[in-house]
Parts: sequence; C-alpha cells; structure tokens
Amino acid sequence: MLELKNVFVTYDPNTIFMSNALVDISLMIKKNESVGIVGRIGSGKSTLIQLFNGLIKPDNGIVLLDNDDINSKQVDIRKVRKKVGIVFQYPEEQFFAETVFAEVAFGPKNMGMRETELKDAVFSALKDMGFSSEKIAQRSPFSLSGGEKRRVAIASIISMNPDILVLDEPMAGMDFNGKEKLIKYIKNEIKNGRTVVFVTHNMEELLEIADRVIALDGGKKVFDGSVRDFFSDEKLIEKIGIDIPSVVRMRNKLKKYYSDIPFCRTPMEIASYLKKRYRH
Amino acid sequence: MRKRSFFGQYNFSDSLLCKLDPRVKIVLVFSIVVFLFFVKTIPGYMLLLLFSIFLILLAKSKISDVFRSLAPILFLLLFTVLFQLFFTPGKVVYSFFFFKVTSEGIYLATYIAMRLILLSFFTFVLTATTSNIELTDGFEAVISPLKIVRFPTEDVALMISIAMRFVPVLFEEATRIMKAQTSRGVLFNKGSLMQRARSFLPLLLPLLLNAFNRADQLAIAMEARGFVVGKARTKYREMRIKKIDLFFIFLFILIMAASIMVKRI
Repeated sequence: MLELKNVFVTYDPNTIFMSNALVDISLMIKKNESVGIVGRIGSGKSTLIQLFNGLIKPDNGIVLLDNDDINSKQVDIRKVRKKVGIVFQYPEEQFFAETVFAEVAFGPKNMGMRETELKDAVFSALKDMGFSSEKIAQRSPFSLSGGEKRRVAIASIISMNPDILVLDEPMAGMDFNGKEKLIKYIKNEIKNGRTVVFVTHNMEELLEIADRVIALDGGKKVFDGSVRDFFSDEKLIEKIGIDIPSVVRMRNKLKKYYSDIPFCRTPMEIASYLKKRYRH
Repeated sequence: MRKRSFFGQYNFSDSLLCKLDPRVKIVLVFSIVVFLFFVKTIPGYMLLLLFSIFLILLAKSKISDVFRSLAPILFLLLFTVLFQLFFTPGKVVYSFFFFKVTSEGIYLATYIAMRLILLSFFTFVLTATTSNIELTDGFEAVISPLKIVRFPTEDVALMISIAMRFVPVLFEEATRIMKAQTSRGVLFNKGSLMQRARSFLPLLLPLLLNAFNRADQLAIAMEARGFVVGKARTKYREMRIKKIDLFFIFLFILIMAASIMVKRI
C-alpha cells in the first residue's frame, strides 16, 4: 500500500524559474487497484510518479510504502524500488545489454537475485509480456520491432516482481496492434493481482484499463474517484482539457432515450445492452 | 535544491557588453588572457582585477554566479598555490615541520592565483554576455583567415555550434536514463570505485546510442532543408564594428598598457 500525505514539490525555489510542481497532494493506492493518472502536459504527473520510489524527495509531506517513510534513513531504498517498479516513457531508450535475457535480468540482478531464481524471474516476466518462446531471450534487444522492444522494456521491470507497477504513458508512439497487445498484457497483470498505476493522455485506454482515476491540474489533485464518476463530471473534464471517449459520448446521448443504460466501457457493452433491450 | 538553470551560461540583458560585436569580444578576451602571463607586478594584477570586476558589473551578472564559475578550477587553484608556496627555493620566512615558506614562494603563489582567477573572470564575462550563436559566428569570423590554407572554417564552426546546442539535450537525457536505471536498482553514488565505474555502463551506452540516432536524424533534417557541405551560405545576422566596439578596443589597450607600466611608477 502506497500513501502520500500532504506532499509539496517545488522546482528552483527562490529563483525566477520557481514553479510549484505539486501542491498539497494526498492520496492512497491500495493493493490490487488499477489507477489512471490524467492531466495536461506540465500538470505534475511525471513528478508525482517519481515520488513513488524516491527518485524525487518531497519538499514537504511524506511518502509511505507499507507504512514506512521511504525517504527516512532506516529504509533501504533498493527494497522500495523493488516493490515499486517504474517504467518510464519510451523505456526502450534505456536498453544497453547484448541480449534480451541480460536486459530483463538487469533489475532483479541488482536486487540480489541469482541463478535459477533469476532465470525463473526473467522467463516468467517475458511470458507475462507475451513472449511464449524462450528463443527471444538470446536475441539482441536492438533487433526487435517497436512493439516487442516496449514489451521487453516493461518485462525488465516486471522481472523484479514489483507489488506496484507504475507506467508512464506505456502506449506512447505505438501502432494499433502493439497497443492492443499491450493493453491485453497489462490487464492480465491486474487480473493476476498486481497493482498498476499508469499515466495516460488517451481516454480510451483509461476507460479500458483503469478502475480509478486521479486527475491533476496545475500540480493540484482535482479528482480522485471511479472512472464512471470521472466521465460523468463533464465540467471537470472540460476544465482539464480532456477528450471524452466516443463510447462515453454515445452512451451519454443514448441516456436521453434509454434512462436505464448502464456505464459502458466498450462499444460491445452498448451493443449487448441494446440487444438485450430489443429482445424484450 | 533542484536547479534547472546553469550558471556561467549566456544571460540576456540590456547590458552594453551584450551589444558588442562578438568578434571584438573574442579577440579582446583572448588577448587579455594571454597578456595576463606577461604582467609581473602586484599593482598590475590589482588593476586588472578592478577592470574585470568593472566588466562583471557592466555585464549585470550576479557576483554569486561569478564565484560559482570558479568552482570547477578550485582544486587546480588550491593545488598550484600550495605547491608554489611550499616548494619554491629562496629566502625562508616561515617554517614548520619540513615545510618552508619562502618570500619567492609567496610571490609566485600570488601570481599564479591571480592569473587563474582573472582568466576565469574574463572568460566568464565573455560567455555571460554572448549567446552560443554569436560565439560560433564570432569564432568562425576570427578563424576565417585559415581558409587560405584550405582549413574548413565553416564546418568547424557548425560542428561547434551543434555540439553546444546538444549539451543541454544530452544533459536532460542523461538525467532521464539515470532515473530509469536507478529504478532498476543501480546505485550510482554507492559502492567501491570499481563498482561505480561499472554502474556507469548502463548510463553511457544508451546515451551514446541515442546520440548517434539523433545525429542521423539531424543530418537528414539538414539535407531536407537544402544543406550542402562546403557550399557558400549567407548569414542572417551581419556583424558590424560600431563606435562602442572601437571604444572597448581602446579601453582594453589602455588597461593592458597601464598594468605593464605601473611598476615603473
């Protein structure tokens, strides 16, 4: 369980470049949640996720992981980073190893895993990201396609078996096929009990993956609640400048004629509602 | 705490020095730096120090920034000063254990310290009042006589300007990759020297690879906009010597002459 209490982060204090990246943020992420973080560019999303594993220390307030202050001296920061795995934007740009195996093994090796344990962690992470054949492990990570690279990069974090997986715009720059696959594997992680937090600009993804939404605007938390409540608050959505997904828009329009239509995440859900209704 | 701005970098202001011709600034600063090594008297250095402070004030720089620009050479400064102080033979004025401080040593140490400090002050004034573009344009003009011997001055100037342009980009990228690898359990500032050196591989390798990729993209982008190596190009900014430039040339010559003459008075 991850908890932020009244966190403030300020860049360049006492200069003309001073800016408040985060203002009085309090939030709690429980086990097995899937949380989407949304907001404009520069609203503080990236700063927020870097607080989660101690890459940035708050100027004020505390970050608690399983009730321990992660920035106190008694806490081993490596253990924090093992528990909270962050996948940054365009993670394939951090590749350096000769083989996919070495790349994926890098994290758990730093965390002290060896031999069979390490091997198991690597292959299970690769399997989680949809590489069923073990042949991939001996290839060079630079020889892979864009989508494969992204999935190997995510596997290189999953191999540490983090309790919380944090993804910064995991679908950025991917083609349709790659996106579909990635969404499928991320949803699988959630199903297998991993807590997933992800930053996104794409509302369709938010709708498909997240149960809970945290919205930031100008460094302040402006919304924290279910996806369903988020999309029904049209004023807020307009304020933070987000496109309402077509599924939600269609459902909101249909609501005029069918007052009992439930909240739908996919076109299929709307279709099956209508089908059920017209059968009667 | 978290600094995003660098010191010693170009800092735009309405200062008189920003309006000077970059060629003049480069030549003047270069000649005064060379000149520093010919001054042999304390009053001469005092005059130059006053002059450099005058220029710094004229450049509207913060004094704290100037002192911070000394930080990179602090070690060199301390080392040479102490070395001169203790290991120059001559008349002993003070001694403890096996260290002997000589009057000649004090003189030499002061000279060296003054030279290094003045050197960094004058170059600080140059970089604080001249943008990267102006610097490379000025540099290109200054080395243009080398064209006679078929030295590719334009290409060299272009290389320098691209290199300077990408310093902040690379710096940002290094921070980004460092954070990504830190998240994978690398501790960059812990462990033995060997361990630290090894932990830099996962940082340097991606940085280098991305830099090569970016160089490729840049080359394509430049060609797409009609850049041809070795073709003559026109300039957007034209450099002209104005009255103010002549005034500063005169001022510099005056100060240099005065600092040499001062010992005879």
